Amino acid sequence: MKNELEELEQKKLSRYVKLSIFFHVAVFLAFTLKATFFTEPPIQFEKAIRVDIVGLPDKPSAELPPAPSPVAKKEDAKPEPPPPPQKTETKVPPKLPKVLPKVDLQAVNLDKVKNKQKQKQALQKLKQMEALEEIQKDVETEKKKKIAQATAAAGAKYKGNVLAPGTELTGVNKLQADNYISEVHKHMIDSWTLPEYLKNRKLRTDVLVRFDENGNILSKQVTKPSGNPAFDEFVLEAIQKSSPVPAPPAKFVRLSAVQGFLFRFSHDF
Amino acid sequence: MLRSSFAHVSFCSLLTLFSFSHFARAADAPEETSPAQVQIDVNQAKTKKSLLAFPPLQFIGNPATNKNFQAIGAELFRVIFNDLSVSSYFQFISQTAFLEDTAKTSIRPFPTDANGFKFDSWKQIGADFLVRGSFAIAGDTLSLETYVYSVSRGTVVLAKKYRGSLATARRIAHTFSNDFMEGLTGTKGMFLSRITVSSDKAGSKYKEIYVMDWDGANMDKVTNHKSVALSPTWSPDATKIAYTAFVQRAKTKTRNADMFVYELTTGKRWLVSYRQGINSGAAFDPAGNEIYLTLSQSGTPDIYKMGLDGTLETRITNGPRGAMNVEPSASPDGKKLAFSSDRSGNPMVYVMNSDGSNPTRVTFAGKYNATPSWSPDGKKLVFSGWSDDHFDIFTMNADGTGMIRITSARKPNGKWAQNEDPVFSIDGRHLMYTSNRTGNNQIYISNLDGSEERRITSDSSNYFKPKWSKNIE
Repeated sequence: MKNELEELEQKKLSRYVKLSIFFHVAVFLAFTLKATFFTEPPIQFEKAIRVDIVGLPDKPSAELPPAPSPVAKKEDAKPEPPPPPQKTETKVPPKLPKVLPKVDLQAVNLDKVKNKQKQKQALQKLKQMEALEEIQKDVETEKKKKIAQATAAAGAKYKGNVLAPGTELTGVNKLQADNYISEVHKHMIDSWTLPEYLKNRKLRTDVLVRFDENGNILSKQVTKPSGNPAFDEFVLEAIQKSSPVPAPPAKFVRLSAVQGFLFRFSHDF
Repeated sequence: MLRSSFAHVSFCSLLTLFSFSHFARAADAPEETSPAQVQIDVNQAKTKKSLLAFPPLQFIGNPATNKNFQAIGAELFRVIFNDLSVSSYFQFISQTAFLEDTAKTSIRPFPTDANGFKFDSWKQIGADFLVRGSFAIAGDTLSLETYVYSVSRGTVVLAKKYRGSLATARRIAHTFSNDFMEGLTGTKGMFLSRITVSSDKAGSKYKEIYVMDWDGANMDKVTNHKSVALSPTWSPDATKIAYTAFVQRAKTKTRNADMFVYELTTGKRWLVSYRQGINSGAAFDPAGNEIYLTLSQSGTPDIYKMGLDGTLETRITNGPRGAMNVEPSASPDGKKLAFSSDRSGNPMVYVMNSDGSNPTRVTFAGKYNATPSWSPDGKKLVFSGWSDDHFDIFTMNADGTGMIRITSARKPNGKWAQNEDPVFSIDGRHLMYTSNRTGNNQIYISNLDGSEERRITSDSSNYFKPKWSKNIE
């Protein structure tokens, strides 16, 4: 009797266990099936907009025009000192002088000895040198062609793509030059005035200005006119008005008087 | 081993690439200047007004036969003087400082004319420009001959002759001012433009639509609904005006904000949109054949596009639910619409494509920004923004950057004045808006930076939502 009861109990238990397993599996299957076959569209998250409660700006007073930021300008005017152009251009020339004087010396010696054979040899050598030079030239032109192709491939020039030429100055010289250039810049800005009717035009005039050791202007040469004669006139007037500019330090006199400074006049608004 | 050689190869190719780009730059540089050139950028010029000498206009003819010649001469002079001072390019030299008796010298310079003026006598008083002119009257015909001289160069900047009826004296003067601006800057002025505006001039109970010259002269009333007529706007060719009026309907005896178009050249007027609710805030498409407007037929106000005959073309905005989308303004190229919407809570300025796609919020500052309007070059927007306890005018780039406050004025009682409903002038050099700084809502113009504010209307009426036309020539 007891045994029968126990058996019954066990049977019941196993049935319940089976049932429970069946239901678990059913629920699990139901959800997986739903997830695999009846997928709902994914929840779309809209872009959050950050809203800052900011006050509206004040009316700018006419007396205080925005001050030009000299730091930025300095960087603009003077990019890194080692300019790539020199490298390419100076690569070939130094070789030639080394060889050429030798030939000259030989020629002089030959004159003394008056040996015709040697003269002939020398002439041949010279011809060879010339041929070499021509080959070198050819190589260079081809290089240039390649470069041109490369630039074309690299795409059109855009702002920031062009490396400004910079200066030869380095080290302490560069620091001094920077100081001096910012002085000249400030001085020129002071005399740069435009009439109201030209102010909203996008015009630029480049002028090469040379000045002596006292800062007196020796010459001004428009290298790139703006296309508007009146604007160019006001640019030249500003330069005239700025004379004398701050006197250059002695070591920069050659720079200012021979090479000159290129001023690029424009008006941003 | 293989890997390292591969690395070596790729390193080499990188090097060559680098050197190529290096050369590329080097090749570019000498185009601009020689390599060791010191470059100094001089920008941000100070600006100054040019000194202008403008002697009275000479009358050519018999004073006895033309009794009112003085009045006409004075009017021509006044109009030109006002135009040129509004341009804000000039500072006038006082006539008492003149070294020459301009009644005795002719309007041409000395070598050309034996009795001519001398450039030297204008150089001495520092004049940059000299404007000389003479006028003659023959019956009803007025002719004006004008010369603008650059004194420093001793050259003629502009030489023009104008002829018209006596009634067009002001137009002749404005035409000269426009030509002068073109001669100086390459673009005409806005001196032949007109304003359309809603005003309570005809009695405080009503608001009617008016049209006037930009300087407030020649004001005409163009509606007589004896009701409230609002938000007029010019068609791009300035021949039509679209506006909204609360007009009583014959059948139902109810009033509704319906939209009308009035053709100035023919006097024709027709009802464009009369759907239940508001039909307002008209803005013409730059092509001139369609109107953007606000309709509230579906509950909340939304922007629609409609033909001039009233055929509804497309619904431009649709929700979000409960949000209003109003005050459309089409960009000059017709590709964008600026509008105001409270979809983010507070009313703000938005810009979208003209088909309604890609709406972008552009104002984030302040609590209430409305009534956006485009600059003629499509680069800027002007709008009114709620600041503390009043509206002021602001401009910004079309993407919302570079916001500038244009107005800031107090009323006589010390409280801040409301400055509202701004628009750009057709030449893009001026802004127009209303302000109640005198107590009444009057029309003002200013330069783009808010300087040189001028009051255009001066009466005791109120003016609302002025719009500026193109030059009407």
